Amino acid sequence: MNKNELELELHKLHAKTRNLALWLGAFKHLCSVAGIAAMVYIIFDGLSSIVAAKSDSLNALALVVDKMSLGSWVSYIVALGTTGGWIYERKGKKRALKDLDGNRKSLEGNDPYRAGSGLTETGDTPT
Amino acid sequence: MQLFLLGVNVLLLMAAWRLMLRKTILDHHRDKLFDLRDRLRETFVQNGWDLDSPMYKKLRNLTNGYLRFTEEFALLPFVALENDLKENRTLQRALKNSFDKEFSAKDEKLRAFIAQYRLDAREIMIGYMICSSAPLLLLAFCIAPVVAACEAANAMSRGLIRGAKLVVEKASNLRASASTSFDRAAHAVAVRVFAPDLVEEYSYRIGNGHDTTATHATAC
Repeated sequence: MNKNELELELHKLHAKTRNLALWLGAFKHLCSVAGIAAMVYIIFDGLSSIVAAKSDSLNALALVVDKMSLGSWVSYIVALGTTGGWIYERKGKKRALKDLDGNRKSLEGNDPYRAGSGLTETGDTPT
Repeated sequence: MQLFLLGVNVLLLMAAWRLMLRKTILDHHRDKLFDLRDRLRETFVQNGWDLDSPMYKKLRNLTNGYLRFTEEFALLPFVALENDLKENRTLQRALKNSFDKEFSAKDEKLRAFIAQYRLDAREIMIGYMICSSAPLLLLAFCIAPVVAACEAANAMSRGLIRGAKLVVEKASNLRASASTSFDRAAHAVAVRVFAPDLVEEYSYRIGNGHDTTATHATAC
């Protein structure tokens, strides 16, 4: 297989895989939307059964809060704390990455070849 | 009540996976790639190899391609590409030859470094492919303790005292030890799911038509 044939085959492969990736992306998106819709349905179904069990109540969410166990409360508080910690840690990490990028640039300043990755200075994919 | 909580919790889990965990996984693997690229420069400087040499450019471009298109390394398209290549043995051989030719060097030390560098870069990308797929990530987590136990048993079988020393040494750095076990577990999953050899072919397929190799790019 010569260079031109190899190029042609690579382009074919590229087109085929790109096509598949697009289809899979669309399928995944569809699954996510269907999953969210199913969960919203389950939530409302659950709420309506709670209200149905006590028909004199007007506020279903108040009933849910009332019925939630201590374990559930603790779990949600821990999850909230973890999320806060994650946001705080991520902010610090992005700041550190920006500093590191500056140091890297000054270190590689005189290099004859210093091609970059094309990412932003905090290491994110450019939008 | 239980149905309502199930719905809320599944939605929260989906949000945590999409908005938090996946971002952290991506950042973690990009960090590893940046470290690898820094090591490339460091090794070239230490050994007095030319930073303007074609090999340095190729290895740096390879890493830059991985960095820029990390998110594109998804499991299913990769497996599909692998199957396509398996059907076309001539193309697979031609690609392998062209890569080996492109990364060949006369200096033995440089050749060994290139081979190790390419392998390390591939391992990082394989790790990303496993971790960014929720079912495979779960599988790797489940088998990580088994892999760690097997390694410990393997170390012990090499000689009781030496093995015990190894186990103590590993246990003394619990974080690194857990990370290594997880990486091994991810690798164990990877070799059963796809051919790690094709990672470079996949990266070049992605890079095709995109400019990631500007000589003096400003960002990262």
